[in-house]
Amino acid sequence: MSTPLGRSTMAEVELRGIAKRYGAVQAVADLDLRIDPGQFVSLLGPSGCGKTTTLRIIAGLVRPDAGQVIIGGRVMNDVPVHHRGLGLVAQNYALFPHMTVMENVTFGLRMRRAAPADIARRAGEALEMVRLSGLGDRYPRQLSGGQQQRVALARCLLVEPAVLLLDEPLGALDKKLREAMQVELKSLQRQVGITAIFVTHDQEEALTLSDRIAVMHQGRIQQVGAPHEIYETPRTRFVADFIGVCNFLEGKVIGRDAAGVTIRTDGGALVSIAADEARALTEGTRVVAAVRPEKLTLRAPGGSSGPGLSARVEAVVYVGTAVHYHLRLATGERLIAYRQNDAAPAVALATGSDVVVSWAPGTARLLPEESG
Amino acid sequence: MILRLYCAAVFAFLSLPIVVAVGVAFGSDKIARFPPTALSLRWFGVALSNPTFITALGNSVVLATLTTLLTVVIGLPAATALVRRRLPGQSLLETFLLSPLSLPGVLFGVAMLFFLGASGFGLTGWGILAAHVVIAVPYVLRTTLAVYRGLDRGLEETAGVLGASPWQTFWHVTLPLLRPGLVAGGLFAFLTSFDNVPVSIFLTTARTTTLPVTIMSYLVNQDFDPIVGAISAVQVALVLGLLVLLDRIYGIGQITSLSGQ
Repeated sequence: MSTPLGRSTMAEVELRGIAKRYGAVQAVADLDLRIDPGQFVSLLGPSGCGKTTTLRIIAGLVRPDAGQVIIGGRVMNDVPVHHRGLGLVAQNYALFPHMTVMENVTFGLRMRRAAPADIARRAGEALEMVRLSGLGDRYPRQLSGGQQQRVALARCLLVEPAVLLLDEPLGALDKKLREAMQVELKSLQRQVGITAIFVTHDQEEALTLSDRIAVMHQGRIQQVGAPHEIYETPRTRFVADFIGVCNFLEGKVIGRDAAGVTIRTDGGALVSIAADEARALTEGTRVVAAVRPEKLTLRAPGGSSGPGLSARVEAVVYVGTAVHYHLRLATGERLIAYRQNDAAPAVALATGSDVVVSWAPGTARLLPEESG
Repeated sequence: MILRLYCAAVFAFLSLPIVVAVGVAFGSDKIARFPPTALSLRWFGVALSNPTFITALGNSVVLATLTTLLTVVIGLPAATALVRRRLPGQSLLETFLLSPLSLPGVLFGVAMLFFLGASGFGLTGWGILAAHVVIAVPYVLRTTLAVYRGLDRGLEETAGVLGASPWQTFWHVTLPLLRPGLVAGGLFAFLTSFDNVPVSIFLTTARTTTLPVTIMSYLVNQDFDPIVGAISAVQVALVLGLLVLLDRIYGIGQITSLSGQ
């Protein structure tokens, strides 16, 4: 693939059994991950989950205690940082303050002793690509946050890295600018066709940008999948909780049939859930039923439109695009339900009114009860 | 208002003695008098044709220059090791390297005198240079450490990822960013050497004498006359010239604030 910046390498990245310990803290534990060429993959998790350490191990800035880093089919463990041929955009951009924009952007090529004419041409193209032509003589401190960000990207892309490493690069920007940069970053990555690894704690950002997301917790990958898989079919309670908002009903399996299982929640409510796969759920197994707030349907009590749980509206929060209902089940558990603020006539659901909560089969997930 | 008066008072307190000493040099009187009754440059002529002063001035300039170069050559790697490496007894080592700051000059001068005698090195220019380097290194180390510790490690890491070898990273990223600290420290080192008396006075001979030591002994032997004022004025002019030069190149605010920006 040819781009304004030259040939893209589109390397595959593979991590095998990576582990790293800092004193008593196991920062990364037995981590396996495969990233296909040209994919945009996010390492997502709360601070301290090991995502940044993983990125730094790939970059060669941190030496893993165990495991292999393989980039483009080559084991990189003993290859020093400056020979790995990668690109890194740090959270604060790490622009060299004593160099102009042009000097920053051409840094990698100059260190590689590329031909001056070649450097000038490619730098011009790169600055144009990130819409910074004409700002080459400025110093980083004279630029806005978004412009600094684009300089860092251009500096990175100019060396035609095998992999683009992004360490929370949008973290320092305000919300509006961040959303604009997300779009820009994604289209730039597509255009160049580069493999990108993106570290973030912002689940929305990960959902928006990624081809695949690896959710990390306590040094381990909890789940890897496309954004919709991670959101719709979380495999652990941590993932369901970390990505978006989720209602959890803890309980015990009390029966199962062809359609699924019935659980009795700790409060005493009976809930039927379609259990898809042949999961070994014997009676008495403790489980967690997870259902997203936007999947819940509220209706007035009475009538006979199927099963549901009785609840009372405890609070109504208007957030503009939606209305959030805080509910308490007759059995004591709390739930939250979202209703889109669309053209449909609003049912009068004031605080204190009684409602029946239900959800379509298949929208609730059964998750194993978490040990840790 | 009060702050302004206070500032003016402090400034006057600091600068008036220099104004008097230098002012005397511009008089035509045979004895030191301030303010001078008539202006003249004759004492500059006398001072600058005095071989003792000229030798001492030359010695001082060479000595201070070499001291500055050596302290930077020693201070920069020392700071790098203290900031970027994990060494056993790190803080002890740092305290040791900075300790000449808190050592009385006279004590160190005497100790150096005994050392040079006992070890057979004798009193040469090299001995004085070594002594000046010891007392000046802390200044360079201090200022360089301050800048180094404030340096964003991510800049060096990013340079590495972008393909710069460790040496290229040091040369193109680390060193330019440390420069304010090195220049400020080097300036202090130069001035420390250039006006040092307590250490130099034990180690200089007639051949290796420095300007401040010569002025001191002249005062002891002759009393304060306009010749001393003239040679002091030359010394002040040299230092001011150096400051103006550095200000032109780096900006004095930048050097003294050590902001690294």
